[in-house]
Amino acid sequence: MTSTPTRWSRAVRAAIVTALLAVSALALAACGGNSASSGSSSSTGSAGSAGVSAADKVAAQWAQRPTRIPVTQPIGKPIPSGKRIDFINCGVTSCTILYKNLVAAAKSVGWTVRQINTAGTPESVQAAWKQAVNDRPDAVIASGFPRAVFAQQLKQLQALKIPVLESSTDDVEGNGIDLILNGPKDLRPSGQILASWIAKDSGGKANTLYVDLPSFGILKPVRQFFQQYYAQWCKGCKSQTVDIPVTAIGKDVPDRVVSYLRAHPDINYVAYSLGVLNVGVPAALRQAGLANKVKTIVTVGDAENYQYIASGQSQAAMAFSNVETPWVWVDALARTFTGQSIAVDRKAQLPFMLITKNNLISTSSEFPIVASYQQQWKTLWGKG
Amino acid sequence: MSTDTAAAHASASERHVVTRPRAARRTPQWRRALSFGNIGAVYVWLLIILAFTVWVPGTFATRTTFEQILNNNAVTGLIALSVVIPLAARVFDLSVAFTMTLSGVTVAHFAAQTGVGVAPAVGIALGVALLIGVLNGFVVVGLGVDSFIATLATGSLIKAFITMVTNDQSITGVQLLRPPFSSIAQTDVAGLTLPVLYLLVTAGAIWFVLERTATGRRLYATGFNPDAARLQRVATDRLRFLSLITSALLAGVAGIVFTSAIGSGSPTAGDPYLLAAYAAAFLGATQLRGGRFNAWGTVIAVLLLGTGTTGLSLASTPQWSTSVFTGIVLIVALAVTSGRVRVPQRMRRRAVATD
Repeated sequence: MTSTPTRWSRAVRAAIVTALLAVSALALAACGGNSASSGSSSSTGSAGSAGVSAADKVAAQWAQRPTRIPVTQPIGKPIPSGKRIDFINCGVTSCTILYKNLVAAAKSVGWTVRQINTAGTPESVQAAWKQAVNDRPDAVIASGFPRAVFAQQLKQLQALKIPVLESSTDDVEGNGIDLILNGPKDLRPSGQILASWIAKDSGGKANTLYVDLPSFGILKPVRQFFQQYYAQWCKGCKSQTVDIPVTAIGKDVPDRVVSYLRAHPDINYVAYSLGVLNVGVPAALRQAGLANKVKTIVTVGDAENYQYIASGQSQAAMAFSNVETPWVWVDALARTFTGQSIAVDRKAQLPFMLITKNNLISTSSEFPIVASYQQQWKTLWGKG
Repeated sequence: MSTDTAAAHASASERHVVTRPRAARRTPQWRRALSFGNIGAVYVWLLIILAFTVWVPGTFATRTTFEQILNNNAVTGLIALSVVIPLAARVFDLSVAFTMTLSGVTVAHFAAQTGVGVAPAVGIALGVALLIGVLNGFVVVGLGVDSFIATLATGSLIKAFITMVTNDQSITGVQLLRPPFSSIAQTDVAGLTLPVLYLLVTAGAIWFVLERTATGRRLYATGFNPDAARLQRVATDRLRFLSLITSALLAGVAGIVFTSAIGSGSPTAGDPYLLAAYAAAFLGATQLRGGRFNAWGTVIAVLLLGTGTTGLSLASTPQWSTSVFTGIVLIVALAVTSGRVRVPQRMRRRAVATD
């Protein structure tokens, strides 16, 4: 008869351990808040309507499709042909798009591009940069790599006087990196586009959930600029932020967003710092009965989000073109190889655009924002 | 000697390890069924539900949350179920995530870009998944490569093929966002979407095969002791081959359902599901069947982990809290199971000492 107390005591012990662990997990989770709220619910009268009017104008400007490439100064000298460029591919879709378009841009001036792949690990990134050093190309181009990962190779490339160009990295030009496109300073339009559309569309009565991906450092300025302009143009509006771990992408982001919206039913707009965060969310919103309660806008639209906009499941996106970025790189290198300053390229503001159902250009993720960009660049380079 | 005898021997041998023979005979069946050791995760689950009901009373204990948990975890459940049969036969299929991706981009391509229609597109995607299963079976059984390494390798090949074909870009098209294709995953019946039904039907089918057929007993026998099973004329190689085909087909179904749910063919769709599938399958093995990989235990595990994700999101906890929750729940459930394995030995020693 001793077995019963033994079983019961074991069960009780196990239950207590489980309860303690579960409660500690929940308590631990409760220690930090995932959201940050800001804004005032009180309307500020004429100041508020002035902000909305300003947002309306800004949104209207960004909704216009640009017709000019961001550089207008011709090269003015013959561009030497036969240059070899090494492109280090970061391994994600946007880098592959950059590579494809870099090949097209380089080809138009008689250059060739060699792609060096990485597997996403710091070791593979370093190995790729070492390969670029050993290759002794005329220039090295990459996207999204933090300087710390390839600092040693950068010094070697600098010593060899090989130009290094980057994009979409949370860094500043100098000390070996000659040009950074879409760096933190260039992302002001992202914040303007998100904030102006929400302020305009809501008439200054938005309560916005900003869904962010903090592990991507380059998105930090997007959030800062959004908050800055949102506060400026939408004075009576509120905002909250929810951070998403990168491991949730493609899996439980819809669940997280839907849960947050259910817990905060007064939210009526959702802004995503990256388009991929919205993938799968419209269906989850519909299943939860929230489809018509919130409007969404994403930064860096992609094929999925343009399809959502076309079908009315999402409302807006900030279009940013990886098609045109490589042409600025080639322009900068052409100026370097002809002994000119690349100041015009450093100042170049790549085209951004506010996309809604009314002005949707394409449901492809690869459309150029300036339709005749190739012809315009070739004209600058004397190849037109 | 029949193969069922071998399966029964292996099954008895396995029960000898993970249950307490003397105490179990004295305990009523209903008490064993409801014991903490048998369904510990269910009690943990109830505790968690209670905690969230107190923590977020306005939103958690609602029908919407119930539907949300089921709807949002159906694909995870399908991919987790896909590895149950191979694991029962002690075969790892690490390529399921990539098979899921491949079937997803295949169905997206054919449904959105070729005009062949939804049914043929689904058929082609399942055919591709079947081919992956045959490839895995050939490498594991035909070439005798360890399944862990073999399916890691075939997964890598599938990933390369996906990248080569899709250029790492999602396949989209308005056809994927509207019926009939969207109906595969987005049809709503009383708040529950069709993938929940697929999950329940699949779990029921796997339960039937594993628990109610000779094939199921042979699969377990193959998993518990392949040499002994082979000596008893169980066609272990054929079962391992078929288990890999089953996992590939179920992963293919999961890929099609996921593509229909998000409305595009993503070249990375399956990547986040691999660890979740194995975590659920292993946690599920601690439930109901005392150490055996089984369907309903896996479903319970998926829903337990999903309840945590949804509850923590409703409570607006930090982004890392879900990982903390998952880690702790896995440790607790597996610790309870390891206790079950050791206790009978202690009890046996005590019994011997008493005698």
